[in-house]
Amino acid sequence: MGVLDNILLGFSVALQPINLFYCLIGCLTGTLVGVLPGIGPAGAIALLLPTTFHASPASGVIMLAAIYYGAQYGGSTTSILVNIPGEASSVVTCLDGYQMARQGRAGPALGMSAMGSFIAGTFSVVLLTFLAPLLANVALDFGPPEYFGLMVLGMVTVTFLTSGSMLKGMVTLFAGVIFSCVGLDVVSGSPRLTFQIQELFDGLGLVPVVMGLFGISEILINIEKKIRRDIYDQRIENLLPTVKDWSACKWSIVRGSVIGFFFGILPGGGAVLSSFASYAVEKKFSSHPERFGTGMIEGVAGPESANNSATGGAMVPMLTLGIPPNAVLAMLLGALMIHGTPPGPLMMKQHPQLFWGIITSMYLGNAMCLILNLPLIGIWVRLLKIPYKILFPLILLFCLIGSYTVNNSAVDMVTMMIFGVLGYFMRKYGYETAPLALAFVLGPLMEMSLRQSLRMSDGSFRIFLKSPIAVTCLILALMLLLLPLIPILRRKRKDIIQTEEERQ
Amino acid sequence: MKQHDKSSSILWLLFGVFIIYSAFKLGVGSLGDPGAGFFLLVAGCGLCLTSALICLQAVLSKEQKREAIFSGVIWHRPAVIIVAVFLYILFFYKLGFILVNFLLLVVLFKGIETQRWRVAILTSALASIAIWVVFAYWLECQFPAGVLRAIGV
Repeated sequence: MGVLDNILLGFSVALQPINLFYCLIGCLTGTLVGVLPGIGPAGAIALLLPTTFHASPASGVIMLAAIYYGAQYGGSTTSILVNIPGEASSVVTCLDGYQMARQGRAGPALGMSAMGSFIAGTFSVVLLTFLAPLLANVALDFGPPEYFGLMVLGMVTVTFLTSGSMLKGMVTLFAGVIFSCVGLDVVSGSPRLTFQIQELFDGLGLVPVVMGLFGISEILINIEKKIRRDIYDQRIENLLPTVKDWSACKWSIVRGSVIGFFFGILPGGGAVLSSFASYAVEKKFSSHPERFGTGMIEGVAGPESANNSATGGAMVPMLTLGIPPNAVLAMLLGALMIHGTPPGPLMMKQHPQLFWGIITSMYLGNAMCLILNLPLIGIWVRLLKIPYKILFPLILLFCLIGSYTVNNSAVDMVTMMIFGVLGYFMRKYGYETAPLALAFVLGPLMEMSLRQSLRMSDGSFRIFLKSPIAVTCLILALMLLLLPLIPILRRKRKDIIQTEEERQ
Repeated sequence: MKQHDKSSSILWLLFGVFIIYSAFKLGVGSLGDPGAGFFLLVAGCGLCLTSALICLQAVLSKEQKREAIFSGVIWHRPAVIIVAVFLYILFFYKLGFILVNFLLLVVLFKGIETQRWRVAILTSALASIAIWVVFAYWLECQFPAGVLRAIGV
């Protein structure tokens, strides 16, 4: 089948009224959780996962995917109007977005952010449409050593790109790997680190771990001090960017789209890192880098395009290799498994309707998100005016319900709170939670591929050197580990960290 | 490296030592036939090594000033949340979904930034009922009825 046939097949699935409805619900929920700091797309997917059990796999996964990219649209609204990122990927949007709002230019900031997101989101889906089949074919030749190499590269990338100390990133990475080992060993069946708690025999749940690390710790951080929120309280007008705005931002959007897509593909890359990378690139390309942080529209357009483009990029390894590059897509992978359609190189051949249905629904979903974020901006602004003291108990309750409903187990709620407290202290002591979450997601796959590789080679590590893909990944990982030792690069990395710390 | 890194890295180091001990207890196996503890051993060693390096950097660091990472924290706020949620989980099955939700919301509305009783109770009651309608009735999620079982909730 040619690409056109695949696209037509996909649209025949995505355009079914029930799938359009699910896509709309996903976009709406995604935008909502993007606007509200605390829940996040992983939490929202956990909350709505049980509702997909009654639906067809296509409808369910289309909705969950829409939550993921919808959240990127919503995150910018809070960053621009309140100076608090609704999503981690919108942190950098605060820098210039909020300044624009203070100068009375909230409308153009929101408008350009939504337009850039739409263009980049669509661009990434186009690339996904063409790249996914190619990679799926290549992935058919992947064995345990290649998977192991890819995962090592992903994990090292996330520690290299972490905003704080790289050593601290590695500590949390190893901790994540350890937590992923909890449960019965798949080969021998021996219980590992279960402390004779029967509910832990299946391992720690992804939903409670992710909700705890991101959602609960966020609530605890927000509530520990009295925070006065300055919400932009004027009428939002001129949402449609002017010709001058377009001419200032056109290349920022293009660059953001490309950066976002390729950062999205990298395991551990994703929306957060791509937005930071895009901001740094925009500053570099600008003829007035000193004005960044004072309300430059390019500082909004680039990162917002990048974080949306990353959502399409992230789908590539998930759908074609079965490797989730971040915690949110790990939940999506879980949903696909529950529906009996595990993603990977064979998905495109075994479930073409689902595969192409998900991809083409993203074209429609991006258009829906644009409509939800421009004409309906007033609704989201009103939502932001609800005081946090009213909002946070509800967010906390949703997190508790979300963690409980996956297995109907109170142990999951306890797990969520333990990881929430752990996440809170980690953030206070400067340890990032993202490497832990990624290692927790990739840990079981990594362990399996390492053990299989060693069994295949009778204990020889040379098996990794015999595979060109594995050896390339391992060399790249080694280079990333050694790069900070080069003085000039160490200084550059320090500069970036400082900029981020200043913002916080 | 900041001075408070010393304490955090020592905690991670201790955790790593415990993991190495657990790995050996589980059985590490051999390279050709890795056992259940093999991967844990690798991760535990990695954790010990990296946390020891952080500790070493903090010890050798010239920056001896202690950074007050907890300054300005109003401790009763996170404490109220943590204790309230653990009590919520403890009484989740006994009292049932609607009642524990209501009680948790009242505690959070009153305990963090004091609201008037009338507002706290009314908001909590409305939110608890709305959440039950959406999740238990509409989305058909299963929750314990607890003491309200008698009235058929």
